[in-house]
Amino acid sequence: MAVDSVAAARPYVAAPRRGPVTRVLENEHWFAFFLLLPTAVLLSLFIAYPFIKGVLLAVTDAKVGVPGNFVGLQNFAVLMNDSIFRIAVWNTIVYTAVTTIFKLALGLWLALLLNRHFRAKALTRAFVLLPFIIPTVLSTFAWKWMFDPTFSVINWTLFHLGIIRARINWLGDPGLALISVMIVNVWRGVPFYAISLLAGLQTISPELAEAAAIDGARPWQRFRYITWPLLLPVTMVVVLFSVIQTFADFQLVYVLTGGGPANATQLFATYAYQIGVGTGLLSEGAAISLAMFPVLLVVVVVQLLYIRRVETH
Amino acid sequence: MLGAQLAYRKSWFAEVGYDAPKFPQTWEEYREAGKKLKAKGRPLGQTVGHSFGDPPTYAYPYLWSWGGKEVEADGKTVVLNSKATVDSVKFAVGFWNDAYDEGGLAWDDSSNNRAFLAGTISSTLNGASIYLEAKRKPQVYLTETGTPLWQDILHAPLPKGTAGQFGYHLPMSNMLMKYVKDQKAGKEFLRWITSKPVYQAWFDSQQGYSVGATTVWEQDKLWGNDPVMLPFRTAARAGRFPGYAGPANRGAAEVLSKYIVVDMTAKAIQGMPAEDAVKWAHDEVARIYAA
Repeated sequence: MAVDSVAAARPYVAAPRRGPVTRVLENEHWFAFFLLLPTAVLLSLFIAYPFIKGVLLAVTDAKVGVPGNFVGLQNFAVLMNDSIFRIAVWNTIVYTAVTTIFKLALGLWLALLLNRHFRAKALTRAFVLLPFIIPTVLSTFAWKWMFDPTFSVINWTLFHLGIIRARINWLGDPGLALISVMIVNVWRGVPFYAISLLAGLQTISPELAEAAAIDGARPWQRFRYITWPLLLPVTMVVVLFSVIQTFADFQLVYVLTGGGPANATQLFATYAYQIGVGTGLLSEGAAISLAMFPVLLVVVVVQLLYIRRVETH
Repeated sequence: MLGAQLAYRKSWFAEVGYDAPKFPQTWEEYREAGKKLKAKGRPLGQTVGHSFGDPPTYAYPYLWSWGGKEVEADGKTVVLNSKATVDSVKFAVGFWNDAYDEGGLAWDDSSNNRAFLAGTISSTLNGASIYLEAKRKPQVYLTETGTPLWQDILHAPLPKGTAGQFGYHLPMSNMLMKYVKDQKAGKEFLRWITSKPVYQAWFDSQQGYSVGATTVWEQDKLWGNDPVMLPFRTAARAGRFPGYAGPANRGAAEVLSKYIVVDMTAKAIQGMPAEDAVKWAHDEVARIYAA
C-alpha cells in the first residue's frame, strides 16, 4: 500500500533532466581528465614549475635581488673550471656508489633474515624501520654528537676498551669525514632496502625453494638460481629510488660537516645550496643542481630498460 | 656588531708564565704558550671547518696580521698569493700541530664553546658567549678545582703579526630593500630602532656581547659593570671586513661564503704544501673577482 503511494507520488521519468556538468562528465574522456586534474595540478605546481624555473635560472646570471639576463650556458662553463665543483662531483659519485653497494648487501641480508619465522617477528620488523622513520636531521644530530671531536662516545668506548690510544678525528680528517657521512647514510638507508626487499621476498612462493631443495640444491644455489632472479625486478626498483635519493642527498652532510673540512664532504646538493642560497648566486646554484640531472636521467633510463628486459624474459 | 675576542683560562696561562693581565702579544708568543699548554693536555681551540661565524673571524684577521690580503685597495687586483700569505699558512700548520686541538677541523660555531666550558681547551676566539654562559650558570660550569669557571676566564684580542693587529667582528645589518614600496616608513622604522633610547635597551640586554657600531657606545656606563667584558668595548676599532684592503663587495662575500680563506689553511693543515694551498685559494679568489 505504502509502496504504491510512493510510486504514485513520483511518476517515472523516461529521460531524467541532466545539468551541463553531468553531461560533460558522462563523456569518459572528460571524466578521466577531471579525475586526473588534482594530480596534474600538484605535479605541475611542485615538480614541473620548480624544474622549469630551475632551468630558466641556470641560463641567466640572476642573483638574490637581481633578476638577471640570459647568458646561455655560461654558468655551466664556469662550473667546469670550478675546483670545488669537481670535488663535489667526485664526492657524490663515490658517496652514491659505496653507500648503494653497502645498503643493498646489508638490506638484502636483513630481508632474508626477516623473511624467516621467529618469535616477535612483527615487532622486530617494526624496529628495523626506525632509522628510516626518525626525521633525518634529528638522527643526524645524534650521529654528529657521536662523531664529535671532543665528546665522541665512539672514541670514549674504544679508548676505554683499550683499542685506541689517541682519538679518531671522525669528521675532521678528510678521508674519515667522507667515510663517516657514508656510514650514517648506510645506517639510514638499510631499512628501506630491507623492508622493500622483504616485500619482494614474500611474493616468491616457498614451494619453489622446497622443490629445489628436494632436488638437492644447496642453500646458496637456491638463493643464486631462484630467489635472486625472482627478486631482481624489485631490487632494481629499490636501487633506482635509492640512487636518486642518495645522489641528491643534502640534510645529512649539511648537518654533519657543512661540506667541510675543506670541501672533503661537499656533495652536489650541499654545494648548490652553498652557492645558490649562501652566496646568493641563484643562477650558478641552479646550474649545479641541474648538472645532476643528466647523470640521474642516464641512471633512470638504463635501469628502467633493464627492468623491462628482466620482466619480458 | 658582535665582538670577537680570545676567551682564555687565567690560571692555566699563569702556569705557563702569563700572569694576568699579561697575555701573549705576538703569534710566536701565543704559539709558544699554546705548545706548553697542549703538552699539559690543555690545547688552544679553533675551528677551521665550514661554519658561518668562528672560522672566518679567526682566519681573516690572522691573514691580515701577516700582511696577506685578498685584493688591493682598488678591489680588483687579487694579491692573495704573496710571500706574506704563504708565510702565514706555513706558520699556521706548525702552530696547529704544536698548540691546537686537532678536532677543530670538524668543529662548528658551538663546538669551541662546549669544549671550553667542559675544560678541554685553554683559549679560543669567540664572542663573549662562553663567559656569559659560564657566569649565568656558576654551579654548572666549574674548574677542575671546583670553583666557578667564570671567575677563571679573561678576554684578550688576537695577537699581533708583522703587519699589525686585526679583528673581524660580525656585523649585523638592517637593510631596506629597493623593491619596498613605502620607503619612508621603512626608513623611519630603522631610525627608530637605532635611536638612543630604543637601542639602549637592546644594548643593555647584551651585556657587551653585541656592541654598538659607533664610538658613542664605548662611553656607555655598561662597561663599568664587569671588567672582564672590557676588551669588547673598543674591540671593533681593530676590525676589518672580508675583502680588505678592498671594499666588502659581492666578490668578497662569495669568497667568504665559499670558505676559501678558511679552507686555504684547512688544506695546508691536512697536508697540502702551503704554496699549493695559497695558489689554489688565489685562483679561486681571482676567478670570483673576475666574474
